[in-house]
Amino acid sequence: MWWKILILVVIAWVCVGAWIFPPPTPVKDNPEVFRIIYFHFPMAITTVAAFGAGLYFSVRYLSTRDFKYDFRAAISAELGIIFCVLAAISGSIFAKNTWGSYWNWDPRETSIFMLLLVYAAYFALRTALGDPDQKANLSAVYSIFGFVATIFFIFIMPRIMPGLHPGSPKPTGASEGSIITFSLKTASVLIPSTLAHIGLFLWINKLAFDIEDAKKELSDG
Amino acid sequence: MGNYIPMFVALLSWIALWGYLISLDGKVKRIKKI
Repeated sequence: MWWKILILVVIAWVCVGAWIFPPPTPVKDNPEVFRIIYFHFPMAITTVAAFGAGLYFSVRYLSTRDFKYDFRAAISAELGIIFCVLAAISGSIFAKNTWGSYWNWDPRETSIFMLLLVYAAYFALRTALGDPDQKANLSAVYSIFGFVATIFFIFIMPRIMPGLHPGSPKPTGASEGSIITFSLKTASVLIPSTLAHIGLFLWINKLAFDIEDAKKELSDG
Repeated sequence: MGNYIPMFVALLSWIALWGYLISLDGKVKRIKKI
């Protein structure tokens, strides 16, 4: 129970800390929007953590053939998609205020779109297969490849293609844009926010499994 | 400091979500005890 209260307190602190500390940018034009980084970045990292958890549970399923791991892998992927969509929405608001429009087909935005397609196909695969063994086996293997795609789309593609997002090489002649300054104040909100978002994902993942388990117990009993 | 309204909206939304998750947690635990 203590860690659930800790998540409550930490995310409440993030809401307040994002307000009391100055926006993490030296840029003068519309700096307020930079406060969204305290939510956007943790959501993106939690997306990777969720798809990583999907990989972990898939490998556990393949080694034990226990369906509870298959279920938890599917929940991880579902939550990964939710956090990915939230990161994309917060990123779009950020983009509107810094790059001029909500969607620019920047390499980062394109890679997030591709990643969502990869995991949409994961659920299409699960829905298409009727046999529970075949569904669990194939989706576990797909989930492993899905995580390889996650690494490529999140960490590699946006870093090798020129784009506007921080971390991307800049197109020839373009300015470096706004630099986010990671001061101690920024870190005191951003790091706890990232850890608490991952904690929240783990909690919801376990809760979804417990609900399914309780449903099963009720139907069996 | 920035505009306090988004901070309050975020804070209240978060407390509501946390409360919902805790109530679900409690319900599941009660069902498992039966």
